[in-house]
Amino acid sequence: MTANGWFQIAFFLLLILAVTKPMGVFMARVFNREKTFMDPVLRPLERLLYRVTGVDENHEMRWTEYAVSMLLFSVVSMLVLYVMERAQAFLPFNPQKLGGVAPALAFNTAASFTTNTNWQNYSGETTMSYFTQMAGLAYHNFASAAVGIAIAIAFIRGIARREMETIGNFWVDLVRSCLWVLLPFCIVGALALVSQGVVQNLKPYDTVKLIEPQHVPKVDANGKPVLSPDGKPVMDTVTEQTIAQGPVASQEIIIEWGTNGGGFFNANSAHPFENPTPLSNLIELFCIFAVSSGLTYTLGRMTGSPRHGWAVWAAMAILFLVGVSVTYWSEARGNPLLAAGVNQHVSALQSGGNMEGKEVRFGIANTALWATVTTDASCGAINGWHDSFTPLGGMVPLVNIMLSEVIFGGVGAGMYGMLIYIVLAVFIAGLMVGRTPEYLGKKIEAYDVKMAMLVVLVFPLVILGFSAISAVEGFGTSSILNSGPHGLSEILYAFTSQAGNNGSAFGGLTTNTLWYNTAGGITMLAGRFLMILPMLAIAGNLARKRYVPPSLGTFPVTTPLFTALLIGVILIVGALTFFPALSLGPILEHLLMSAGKTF
Amino acid sequence: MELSRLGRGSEDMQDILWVAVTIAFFAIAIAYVRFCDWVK
Repeated sequence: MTANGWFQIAFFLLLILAVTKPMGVFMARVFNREKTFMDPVLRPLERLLYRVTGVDENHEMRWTEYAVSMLLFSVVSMLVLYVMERAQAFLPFNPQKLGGVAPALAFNTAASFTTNTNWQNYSGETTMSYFTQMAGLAYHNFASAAVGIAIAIAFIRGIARREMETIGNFWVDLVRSCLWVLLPFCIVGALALVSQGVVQNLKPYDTVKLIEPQHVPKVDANGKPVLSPDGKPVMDTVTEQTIAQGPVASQEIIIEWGTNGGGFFNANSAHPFENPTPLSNLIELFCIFAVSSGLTYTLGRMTGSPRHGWAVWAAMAILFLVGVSVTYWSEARGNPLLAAGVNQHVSALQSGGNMEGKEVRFGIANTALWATVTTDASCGAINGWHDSFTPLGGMVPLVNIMLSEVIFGGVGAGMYGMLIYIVLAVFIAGLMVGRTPEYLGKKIEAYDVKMAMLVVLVFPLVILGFSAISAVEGFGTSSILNSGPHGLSEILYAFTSQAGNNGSAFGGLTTNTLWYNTAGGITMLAGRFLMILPMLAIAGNLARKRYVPPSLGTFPVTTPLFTALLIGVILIVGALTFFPALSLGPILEHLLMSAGKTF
Repeated sequence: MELSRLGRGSEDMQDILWVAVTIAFFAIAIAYVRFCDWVK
């Protein structure tokens, strides 16, 4: 670890702190329909959209209508993407003449992008045409992010409103999210990325001659090595390289700003055309956290309690700092089992530590920072390979997702996930003092806690259920490429990432199979929608309640004690649920590595 | 020719299956909305 590395992490957090209030105020104004500086341009466009689609922007919805509208929007979007993938061979902007995506993969990808997961069982540059990337995947990057923000705002309204049956209009919230919160920042951000060298074109891929021909083992159509009659691998001589390109910058920015994560290229933000420089790296990192951080201030402002918003922000920041510190320490420490002569110390000539799977231009600190940020935020984009992290270093991203990604979290998803933990924390605090739990003037009653438990239970059910099946059945274990506890970690990470709508992976699991495409698709849909629906039920119930002024027995939600209780609830719920699985995966792997055992 | 026609037919059936699975999931989700409203 170096002072420079810590400085970069601290600088990043300070940037996020600086943007929280302005972003939060802006979003509060947007969703309260107050004036903003973008209104002269966007308001006419918004009114035109409502006129064309027949939406009455003054119509308010009960939570059930809000939820059903969201579901109908999502199912149509998902089916359109599925058809687009299957038919892409017949659609324009396909200079590489890529064929239709296979049905099971198309289903998994459609579920993935609809749920803001962007889990990719494919390599983008060899599977998806430019048309699918732009009109299908990039559309969903905006749409799914807008849905997440809309749900979070609906929940906040439920807390803020008093004795009202409605929580807003889904279509208005969706449109405002897209037009005010996503598009303008993405236009500016895309240009910033282009300035750094991120490609943006519609050219076919270039083929270039290699300076030095490469001799590589020949593989068959299934990727298996071809062997000669005497059992030796047949070698191939490669004299050319295909340079993939495309409309990358316009997709890259929404991948981060909307916490989507699905890279244009297989190497994601480790690819030099997606993330060429340390500055592009910082821009992309900043984009991942900016909206989620701002929503904490939006929460405080819309509920009339800015200090509460900061208390929530503090809980997130503390958990973030703990995670990034452990990851940085573990990766900087390096691999203790490397031979004694291998120099893993940091110097002017090398980053030191465990550089496997990492880009030299980013080094240990920025890769550890990115891994923490992307798994805190339900983004899933990567600038280094998580599968190559040390056991403890790789455990932190896994635990971040297991905590339901509420450490800033995905756009909207982090906020409404955190609000569930707040409900639980307030409930527990109320029980401890023998008073009816109250949250910002609303009594937390049996129905609210029932719904909160439905949210909390779905998550581990899909993760542990599907992981268990995959770990014992042949159709699951045949995909594992790493033996020992790391193989289990790969399965666990896959389902955790999909349930948490993150999308990152430990790369050693072959998941483009019928089982993993099916189970993964269902996991992503359940992890998104079956958690959102009880949350909206809570929002609707809170909006109907009478405001109760705080009394002596009210547990304040603006103090460090509340922040500490909130952190405790998050850790205890996460730990109790997932510690057994973690102890068989990354913890065991770390202990075995320390004992000198490898697989 | 026969095999490729079989392949296309099989893929058509798979398309119908995946569309059906998708619609079924969202139908269950809408029913879940009703359940959460009813359980109050």
